[in-house]
Amino acid sequence: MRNYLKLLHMEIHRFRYILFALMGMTALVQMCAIAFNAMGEINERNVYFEQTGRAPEEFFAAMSYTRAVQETQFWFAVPVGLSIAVLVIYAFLIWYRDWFGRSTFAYRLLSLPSERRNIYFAKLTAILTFVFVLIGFQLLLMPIGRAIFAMIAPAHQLQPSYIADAIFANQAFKILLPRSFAEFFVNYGLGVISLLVLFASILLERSYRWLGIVYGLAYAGFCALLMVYPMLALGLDYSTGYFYTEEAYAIQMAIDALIVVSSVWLGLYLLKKKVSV
Amino acid sequence: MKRYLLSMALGVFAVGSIGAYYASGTEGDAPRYKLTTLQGDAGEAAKMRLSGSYIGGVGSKMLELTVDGTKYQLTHSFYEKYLKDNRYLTSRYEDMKALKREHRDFMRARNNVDSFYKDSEWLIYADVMLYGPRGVYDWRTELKMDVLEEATGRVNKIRIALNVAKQVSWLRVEDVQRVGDEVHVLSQVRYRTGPTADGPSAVEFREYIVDLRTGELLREAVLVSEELAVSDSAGTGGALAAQSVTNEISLSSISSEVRSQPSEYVVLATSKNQQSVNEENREEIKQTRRFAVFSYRTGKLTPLPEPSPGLSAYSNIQSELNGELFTILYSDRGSLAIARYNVATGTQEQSELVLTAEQLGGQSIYNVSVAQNRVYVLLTAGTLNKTRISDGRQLVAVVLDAGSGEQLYKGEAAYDGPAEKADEFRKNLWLTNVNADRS
Repeated sequence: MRNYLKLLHMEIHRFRYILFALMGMTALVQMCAIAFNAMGEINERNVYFEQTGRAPEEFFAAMSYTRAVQETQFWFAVPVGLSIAVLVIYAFLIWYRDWFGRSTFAYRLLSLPSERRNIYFAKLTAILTFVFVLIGFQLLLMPIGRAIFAMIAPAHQLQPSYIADAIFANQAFKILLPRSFAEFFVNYGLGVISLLVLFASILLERSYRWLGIVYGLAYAGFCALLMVYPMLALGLDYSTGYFYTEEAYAIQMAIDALIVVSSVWLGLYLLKKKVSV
Repeated sequence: MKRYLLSMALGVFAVGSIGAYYASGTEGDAPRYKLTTLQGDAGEAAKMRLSGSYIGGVGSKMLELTVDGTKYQLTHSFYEKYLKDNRYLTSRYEDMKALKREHRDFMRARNNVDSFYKDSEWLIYADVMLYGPRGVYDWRTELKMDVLEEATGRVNKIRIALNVAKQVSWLRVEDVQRVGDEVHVLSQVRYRTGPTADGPSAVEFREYIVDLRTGELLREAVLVSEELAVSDSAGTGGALAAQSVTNEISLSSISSEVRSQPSEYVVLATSKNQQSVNEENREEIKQTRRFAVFSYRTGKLTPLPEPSPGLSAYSNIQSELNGELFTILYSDRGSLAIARYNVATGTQEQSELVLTAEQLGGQSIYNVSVAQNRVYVLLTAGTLNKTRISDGRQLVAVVLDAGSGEQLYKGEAAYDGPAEKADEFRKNLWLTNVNADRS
């Protein structure tokens, strides 16, 4: 356990600058988007007042942070999309940097006097930690954005907004931060399964090199087919399918569990018996 | 330990922020409403469901209001979102849920609620299928019937090729009943009467009678037959020319409210929508609806007495068959009318009952529903303007006895929170539909 925690800390430590850079970029872009949106709306109200001499409240709806998030959702989505892209790329790099980085770090890593499974689980946990830290940071940014918006907007023209509504005003957050925790669990569960399949494929490549690329792609393709099979073949989306919905979902869960177990087993087996430097 | 501070802090931060978000509730600005009883027995409203939206904040949120409180659709559980809706048959109807529990295998892949018949001895599912075509004239129709004997659990699969000597374009089962050893399958069939698909067509109610024991088709009968979509243009400008007339005819059946229950009768309805453009170039729609009772036992089709002339002016008509009582509910903004018939005798039970919105305690009727001898009414307390949103406060719901018109319950939707906010939230509740569970 101690070795696992040490390795996990090492992985987090190696990525810390990139992680902080992503957090900083997200904060900067999103808060600027909110501030510019609020200032733009105030400017529009001032123009209306100057041209008509009437109070803006008579013509405009009260300023709302939720609406501001809705109107700036592109600028909210850009850093989120970029962070996702960086994490997907790093899911590969977390393995390959050990082989292709300076002084063949993988050699030292694999020679450690501890179980090799610790390396596997440390890398897996590290990626998941980065994902959830970024999600948590996004949640933290939402009330900060609301506070900035409230500081800029005139108090008498401000409509109170709820954080959950502001989050849901952005299309990307509907998937990343669904209202139901069960849905959150399903969405990120699928993400974890994809990560496990990716790790197994990378380790196949590291074990069998050129042939391993074929094995890895075949394994990933097979898992993807297996995962979508119930959706396509068991008639979940129409009313006359032979299986009841709960049975079809039980089959889906069993397949998902099978993919998880087989991917973890394959990854650990390859790391222990086949991977070479 | 100090060197691991970063990892520990990140882990705690991630778990803490996500946990706090979900623990604090994700409904956002979604106020709770309740149904306050103004008059009568709240138990009478137990099956009533009012649906609509909360329109405060940015966007709107769909909600359902019952005597138990408010339920927002945005927080559907995992079960409701992924497991419940795809098989509506065994998740929506109480009798179908019970059948699924009792006969899990028999109920697989069934999708037509009108195709079931159930009594203490037999469970029957009948469907009519349209196959083809391999060639233009190769349409085939088949009656598929699965009969489960409760005593033995044996399922007899009956397949009968139907000889419909017409170009069938659409058909479906409307009702299934058993009379002794005969199974009566009522189906609606639509077929072409001309050489092309877009040419004239007709629709009819057909009854297929099958021997329960041998699976033989004993006989079939056409109960009602109507030509469809007759267009007659008197002017030179086609359908929109002055005095042009378009007739749209449709057939429907009203079988027992709980579909799988045995019933000797079914009510057949023929609707005619006459759409015309008058000399002032204004479109006029005239709807007429005739009802007739069909007895499976006697094979007799008895037209129900014509309603009073005044009732044809109502824009909305709903009906239900409950045992031997057939109820027609007419409604529009100003009033509703209830006509009841005894299908066994083919006579009107009592004179038609007319109730105005004012008599019900509101200014106009927004939505109505009839179920299990009860009439559910959603009333608006204020007049509607063009936008409907700003003052469309249809918040009063009334439950009536369908026979006597007696008001059994009257309730009002109200904000379930601090009194000082009640008016504000009341304005943001927009109820649009009233329904009732049929269980």
